[in-house]
Amino acid sequence: MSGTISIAFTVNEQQVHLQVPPLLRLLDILRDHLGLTGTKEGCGEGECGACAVLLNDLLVNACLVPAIQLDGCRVKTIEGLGQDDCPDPIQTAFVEAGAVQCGFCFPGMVLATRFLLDNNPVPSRQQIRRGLAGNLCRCTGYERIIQAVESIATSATDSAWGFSEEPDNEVSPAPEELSPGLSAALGGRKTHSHLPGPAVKAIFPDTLHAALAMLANQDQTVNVIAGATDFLTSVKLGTPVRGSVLSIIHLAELSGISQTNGFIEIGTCTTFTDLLRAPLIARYFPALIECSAQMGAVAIQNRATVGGNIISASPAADSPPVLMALGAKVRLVATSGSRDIPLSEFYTGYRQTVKRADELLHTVLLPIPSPAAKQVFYKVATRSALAIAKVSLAASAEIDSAAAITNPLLSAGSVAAVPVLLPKTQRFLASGPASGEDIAMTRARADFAAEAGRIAAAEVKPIDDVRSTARYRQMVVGELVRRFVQQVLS
Amino acid sequence: MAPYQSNIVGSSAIRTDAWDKVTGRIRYLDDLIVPGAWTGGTVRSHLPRGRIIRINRDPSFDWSQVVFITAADLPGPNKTMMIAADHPILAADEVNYLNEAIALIAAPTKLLLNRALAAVAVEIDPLPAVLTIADSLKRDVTIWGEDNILASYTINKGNLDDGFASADHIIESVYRTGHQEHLYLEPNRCLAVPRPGGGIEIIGSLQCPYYVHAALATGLAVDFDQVVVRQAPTGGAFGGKEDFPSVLALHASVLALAAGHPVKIIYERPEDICCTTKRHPSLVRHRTGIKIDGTIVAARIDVDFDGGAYTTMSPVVLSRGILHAAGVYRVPNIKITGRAVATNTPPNGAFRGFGAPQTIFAIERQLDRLAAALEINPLHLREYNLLSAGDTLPFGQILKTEGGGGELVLQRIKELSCYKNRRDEILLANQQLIVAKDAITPRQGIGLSLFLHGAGFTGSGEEKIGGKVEIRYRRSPGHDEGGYLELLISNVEMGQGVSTVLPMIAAESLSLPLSMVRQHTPDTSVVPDSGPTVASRTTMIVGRIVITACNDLLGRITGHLARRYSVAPEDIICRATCFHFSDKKLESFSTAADHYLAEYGELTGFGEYVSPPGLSWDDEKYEGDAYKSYSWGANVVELAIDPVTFEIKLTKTTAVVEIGRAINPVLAIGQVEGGTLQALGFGCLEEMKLAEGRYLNDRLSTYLIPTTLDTPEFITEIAEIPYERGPYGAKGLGELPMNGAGPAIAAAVELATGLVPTELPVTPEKLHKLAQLRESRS
Repeated sequence: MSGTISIAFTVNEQQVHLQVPPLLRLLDILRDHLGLTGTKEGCGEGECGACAVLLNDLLVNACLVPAIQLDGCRVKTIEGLGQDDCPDPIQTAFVEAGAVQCGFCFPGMVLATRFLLDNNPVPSRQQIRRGLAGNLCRCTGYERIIQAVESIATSATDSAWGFSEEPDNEVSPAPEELSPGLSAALGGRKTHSHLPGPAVKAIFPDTLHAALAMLANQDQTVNVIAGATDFLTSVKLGTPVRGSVLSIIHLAELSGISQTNGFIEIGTCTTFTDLLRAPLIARYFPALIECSAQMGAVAIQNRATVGGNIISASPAADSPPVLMALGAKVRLVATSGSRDIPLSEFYTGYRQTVKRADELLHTVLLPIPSPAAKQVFYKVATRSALAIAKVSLAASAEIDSAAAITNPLLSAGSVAAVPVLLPKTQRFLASGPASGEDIAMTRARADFAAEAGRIAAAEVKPIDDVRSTARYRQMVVGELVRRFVQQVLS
Repeated sequence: MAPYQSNIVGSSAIRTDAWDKVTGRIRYLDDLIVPGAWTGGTVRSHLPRGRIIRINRDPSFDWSQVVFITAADLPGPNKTMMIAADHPILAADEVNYLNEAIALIAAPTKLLLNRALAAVAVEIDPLPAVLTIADSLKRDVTIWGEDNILASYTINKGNLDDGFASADHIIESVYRTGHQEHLYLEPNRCLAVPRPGGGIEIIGSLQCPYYVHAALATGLAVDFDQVVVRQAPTGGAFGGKEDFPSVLALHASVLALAAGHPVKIIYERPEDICCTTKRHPSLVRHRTGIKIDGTIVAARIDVDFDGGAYTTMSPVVLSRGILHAAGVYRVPNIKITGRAVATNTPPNGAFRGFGAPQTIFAIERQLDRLAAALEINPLHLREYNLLSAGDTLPFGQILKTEGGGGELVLQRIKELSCYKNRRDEILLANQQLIVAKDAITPRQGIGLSLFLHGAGFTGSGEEKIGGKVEIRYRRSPGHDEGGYLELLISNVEMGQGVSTVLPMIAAESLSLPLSMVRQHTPDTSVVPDSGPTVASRTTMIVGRIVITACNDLLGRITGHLARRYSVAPEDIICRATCFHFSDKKLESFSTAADHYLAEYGELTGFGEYVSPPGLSWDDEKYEGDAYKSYSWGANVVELAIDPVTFEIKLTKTTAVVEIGRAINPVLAIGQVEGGTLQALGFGCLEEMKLAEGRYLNDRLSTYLIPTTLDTPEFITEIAEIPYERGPYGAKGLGELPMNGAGPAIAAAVELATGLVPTELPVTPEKLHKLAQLRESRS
């Protein structure tokens, strides 16, 4: 069949072979092709969690996973979790706690809880809140849900429901072969529905080399996708997909975090969950950890990649300001060779970068900071999760022996068409206040910090939009800069 | 009345639908497999107001593959029956709001539908649009009737001039609230299936099967028996599926009849947000006279609601709004006026609270202003003026025993929240931060609100509806064990728990286990009209009718037993699943019911609404007993707020409600917590911005509701003063929790910052603006 791809993966431990358009969403595959209607669509852009499922044991939003990335994967849906006769303890807890109301969000809520407890059997209340922050519920106020999770989290220590402390078996369970009865077992297919994704050509390179060769030889647009969280959202909103789609998420060369020659290298396909779990990042870049923890919610962190967040070139993207403030360079590779350029020179305009069509963003290189360096990330948004920044500010600086600020790097998001550095503020900071410990100096430092804030506020030119106002954003940038300077100097 | 000994009512029985929902097994509308179903879509206006010149269809598209419907093709009158019939099914000559439906298309596949939709362009000649309450009242442009006023009411009590003359202070303020989106997780959707013998069957995610039924009979110009409306499991509603499903069902039906196929219309989120109703924006002016001792002596309250382009529910939303406008306070001399005005924005409609959250925000904020003017604790001022039994409301209703609810919730919230101590602590802590010139540490805030909500329809609404309930005994096919009882009502389960709570009431009154009572799917071809699922009426009003129906059913069996055993029927009682005469067990319920069934062929009990004696409402004079009862609530909100960026973090919310009796306490608490969180969202998160009549926040990434991380710790308590006319003492609950969190947030922010929010939602941007104003003044 033209315009389709053949994929084989397992759903609830049953093997599935399908011939589908490459960008067809996992959500549509589950609901329309397999009749697994427990997975719901509440928004189609990763904002509600009603379609949350487990993909290779990671919580993901099924509306943001394209068919092209499913081959060889394991999917678990609510139908695979438990039924009345042998329920998952989470289901029993939700039933007994009176946690359910309209029920539309619940399949996703149950799977998000499963993922949370698989990774953290005895979460604190705050960890429960964080683990479920990507699953909107409009009925309950969440309190019964949180209490239900607490009830099993507490009993988990007694192994009351047989939770295994062992890590998950690396070997996936042997899938059963596709049988004629599968359709019935899965709940019956909806034969009438045809919801093809856009008709595009799909490319699955086996190696980075092959990927680059394809990019070099294409005469039409190639959409490179990794976590696809931004890409499928824009498709959903009606952005036409032209040309072909090249998925790189499976290329091992592009993932991982390593230390070389004074740099930490982060592969472009490294997810934010990978960052959160990486000791090297925690050790050197607490601001990046802070940023990763605040990005979207768990199901987004599990899919969204560092490279994608940079390449999408959104002015409101969370990580570029942090990476800029940490002095990041990005390595672009092509068959013709590679080049490293500072991230601060990467963006050329709204959703525009210097990357050529034949290049891939390969690695983010972060210089290992001196032990004296301080770094911060502040995000000001309408709510505490699943939020796009009204303003973000990341900053790093060192204090020299004379107590002066050196190497200040400040970067702000959502204040211009691209994430920007604040060069005037940096120059001012580098001019430094005089050192000293007396009260007059304390005041001088406060004045210095306030002045830095004023310069920063004047330096950015934000706009009014659906999320905030220019005036508020300017004020916030100034205040965040002031706080950073005050913190560095004290 | 002797205290009722019960084992079901008052227990937290597990929801009847819980397992279907946690396993994902329950089938919402879009989960149903409908062979041969086509997909429907809508061509919409791109302007807020204008004359339709022509509808252009791209000739290169093969239109024979699809069904295309404009106003000219409608089978019946072009109107959607609601309160007024001004809302066309499809715009014919002119459009009155952006995204108004102009044409409909059905296609065998979604792909083809999308191509067809893309092949239509509507030419519209723009007309000047009215986009705000202020513009509408200016009347430079008339868009509705003669004066742009959709509805208006006035309430008068006492002598306003004398009242103000006796006041020591007169305080005036203006309060505003914005649009709020329901954001049920399941967007609006509908399936229409042409019936073989003519007519149409609707399956929908909806609250009011009989509203849709009436709208279809009118709009399709068919007899009532040609229309069947069935409710599908409904993924949240909150009022958002009260009026709008009538529009959607008409669209789907018209397409299905033209196509000769079932037609499903599934709104995706942006279409749902752009095209369905919202909470009415409000502008409320208060002028209050108060004596130095804290006695409120006079109040003038003028309420304006933005109704949007058509009438929808605006008159009744406005009515409930102004009837709640004086809140829980005694005001001897008062005048309240209300106007719902038309604008060229999507029609606003029902939303949990139904006008009351807007006016209660205003009165509660006004109480805080009065307390500030007198320099007294806002709690004391409230306590001093609080309504209690025997007081007369502005529209003439005298509060009976339930008038004690206000005092009870106030008492309980004081104890649970430690409001007074916390307020003192917080004032001190904030003062210390100010003295230390600390510009980073978040300031704490605490705010209190008191509120009430009238349960059931306003005025004579219940008398007009005359709700009916049926309960029938059925044998499970193939089961030797006894049969079960089927509860036939038109009220729907939309998450709030009706399919558990009403069977609990039935089981209790029949003295049977809950497992023996099931609610039948609301289906207009089977269930009687027990009224819509709105207005916090289901438990209190319909629950009472359920008891009547159960008693009727019991009466039939006891009559039968009396004849068989030659005893007087009034001496037979049903207790613990058995019928007894004196202390002698006669027969089990099932045996008796089976005998009855075998002899008469059916065993059914009927109940009908009976107007409670001693209450009356005069529609003409707009006065009397506006509600059958009132439920009461109190909130204390604690928060932390950044002193410069004004980011708000809700930390703790205490909610106490007095609802007569909780039939199922866990479900009741779930209603309180869920409703309170919606109200907290309304208070400080959920902002709908408009530009040229277009909602800018039309996605879940721009219209933000609270996540788990934005939710405070809840302390919730149900207080009970049994209401003699409610089922087992129950009053209404659903809407009440929506009324109080907004003003409590504003009060907490005021305490923390010294700024005075008069508008919801309270956002950092608005606070920053207020702070700049304060700076420029000082």
